[in-house]
Amino acid sequence: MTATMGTPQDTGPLVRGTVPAAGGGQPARPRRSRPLITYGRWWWALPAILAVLLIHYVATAGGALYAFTNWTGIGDFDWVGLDNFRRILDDPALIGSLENTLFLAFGFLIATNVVGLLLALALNRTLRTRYLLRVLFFMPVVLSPLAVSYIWKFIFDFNGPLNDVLAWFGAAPKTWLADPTLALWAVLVVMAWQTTGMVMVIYLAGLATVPAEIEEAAALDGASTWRRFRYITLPSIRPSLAIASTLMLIQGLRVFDQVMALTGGGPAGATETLATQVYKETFALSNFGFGAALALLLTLIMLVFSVLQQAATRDRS
Amino acid sequence: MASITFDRITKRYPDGTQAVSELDLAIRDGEFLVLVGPSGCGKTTALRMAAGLEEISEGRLLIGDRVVNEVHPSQRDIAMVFQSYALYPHMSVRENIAFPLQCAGLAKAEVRERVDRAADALGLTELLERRPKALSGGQRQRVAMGRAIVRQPQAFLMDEPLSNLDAKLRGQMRAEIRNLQREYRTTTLYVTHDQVEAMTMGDRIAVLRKGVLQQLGTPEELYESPANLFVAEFIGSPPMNVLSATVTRAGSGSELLLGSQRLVLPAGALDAYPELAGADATPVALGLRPEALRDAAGADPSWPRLLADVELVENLPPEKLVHLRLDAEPVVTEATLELAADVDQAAAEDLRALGRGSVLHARLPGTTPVREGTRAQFAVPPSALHFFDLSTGQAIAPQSPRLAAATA
Ligand SMILES: Nc1ncnc2c1ncn2[C@@H]1O[C@H](COP(=O)(O)OP(=O)(O)OP(=O)(O)O)[C@@H](O)[C@H]1O
Ligand SMILES: [Mg+2]
Repeated sequence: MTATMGTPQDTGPLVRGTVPAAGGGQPARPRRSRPLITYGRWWWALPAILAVLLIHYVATAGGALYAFTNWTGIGDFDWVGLDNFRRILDDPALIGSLENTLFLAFGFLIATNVVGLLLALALNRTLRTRYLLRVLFFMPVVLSPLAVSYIWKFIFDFNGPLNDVLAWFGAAPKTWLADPTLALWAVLVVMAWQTTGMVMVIYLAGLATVPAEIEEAAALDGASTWRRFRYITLPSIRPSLAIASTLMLIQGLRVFDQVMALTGGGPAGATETLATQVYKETFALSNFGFGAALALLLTLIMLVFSVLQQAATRDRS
Repeated sequence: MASITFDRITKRYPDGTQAVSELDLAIRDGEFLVLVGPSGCGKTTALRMAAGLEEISEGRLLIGDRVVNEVHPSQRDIAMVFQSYALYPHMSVRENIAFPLQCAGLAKAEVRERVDRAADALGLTELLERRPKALSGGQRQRVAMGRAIVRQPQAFLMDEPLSNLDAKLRGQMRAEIRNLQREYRTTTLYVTHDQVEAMTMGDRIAVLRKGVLQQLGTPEELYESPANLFVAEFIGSPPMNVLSATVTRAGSGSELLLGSQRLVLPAGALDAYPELAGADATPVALGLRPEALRDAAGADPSWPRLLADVELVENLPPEKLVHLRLDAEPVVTEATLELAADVDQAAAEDLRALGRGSVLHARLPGTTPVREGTRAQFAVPPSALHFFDLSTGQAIAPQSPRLAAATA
């Protein structure tokens, strides 16, 4: 044993490769390659993993079981197999809310990312007032979605400021939240208005890691503004793009507060989403089993889109 | 190819720092001009103004005959090599070098061919598919060069491109860059704070101090006739020795009072200096290059002799670098301190505290018999004397070329 005690690394790959288990001392073979400079041990994460597993996954999986029952919140229930799901697909109202959810989610994803990225680009290096402006644009993020929605409800009111402003330009007043086609757009505007600041911050953080010199180099190499953005800046902030788009997609898919506060799902279900339907089926109509099925469907949709989304924004090199 | 002209260019940063003051500089078509000066003197600022990356506060910048003050960097058709190389991290070496060509809208086949040719010229062929992260410093430097030359731009701008390399590689790349520039004959503005780089690479050198141009000339001109004490001390390694001395009349000729010594100058030695011809008890700053101190044995007997204590002999075959002490006063100007501080803050303090006499550096042939701790005599060719005004630091220049005044 003493032979190998001193410096195990001296009996390194050469010895290991040519003389397997020569003599008594087994050369120390590292089980996994760990970087020399690290923090922490894997088991430090155990308490958190347990908590997440128990509270999140086990509870969710438990709840998911009810999706296959006709439980009404009290008393007994029967297993009904896939009946709940069949009912969802057969119900035009629910298909409508699925369409609304997808419209809002993708509208939200695109609006927040485009506007957020434009804001971040505008407020990255130029403008001396950029620090103040960043704070201003971030403000709505810290407000409660309900509070924001009620403010916008006032703005959208038939006698509200929006119609007043339009009147100056000679436009006819509109019933923003009572019009079946406009209401969904109104909800989208409120969602995007509140969250764009968040996306801006994510992109600002990404842009901060792009050295000014490589953009200067690109300009000197003759790149137009668009080309510089497309081939230099955008690839450099790909991680921010992945994070921001995933977050916004998920947040959009589970939209609830704004709809409830602005329209309550109306007019005539025109702004109903999966999340509001889950709420109504479960807590207003006490169809716990059916609500659980809807919730499970929403969860699956989120999962699928997140995975697709990750694949789309992954660094392919 | 085109010339680049700085026409009375001033740069003031928003915080009020005046980084460049009324710079007049013309880089001729195909010329390799080195902009040199100590840290913080405004070299990078000047270069970035030429590139269009920094706004010009006053004056005009011309590329060829065109005023380009308002022209966007992407429209100037110049290539820049950054100190940090600024390679695109998400692109392979090939993509990096190809980028300027793609911006110019060249056809795929043409891009491929030109990238291959540039890579071949720079020895990068094996590395074309690598990412910059997987390259050594010298290789990254080459890629940056490749990206600059591949487009055959109007001009190259280089900001200390070699300062991140080790000494050996630096020497090698120095020659390589020079060769490339000769081959392509591209107008080049090269910034460095290293006077050796400046002397070895430049067709002409511009010395900058605190944003003000001190002198513009060929390496020989700067070395042989520096315009002022700053240039004299900046150019040359080891630097020029500067001592305070007094020029007096003695009979038919002149004498130099140097501490307790009198150096008798041959008759007519100062004839070329109208300012010193009638001098009597005129204080000057005397400049002596290290190689101006010669072994007294076998030297021209008419040359003045100088006695000094040998403090240290550094053997550096085929030469000897000798540190001498003399009881003459050193000339410590603001410029001297600035230069010393650039190298080492402690050295500047030493200079300030230096009371007892001054240290001279002499560069002698390796065969010269000098020993540490002895007092030795040195001969000084009168033609090797440099005089400077003590108060302004400006050179007191000879009227006719120095060579004419030289004695046999
Ligand atoms: N953005 C800026 N704002 C204010 N002052 C600046 C700015 N950039 C540079 N300066 C100042 O301008 C002066 C010249 O700077 P510059 O970077 O051109 O020096 P340099 O000669 O390139 O020095 P080095 O050899 O250290 O690179 C310095 O005093 C510097 O502090
Ligand atoms: Mg610099």
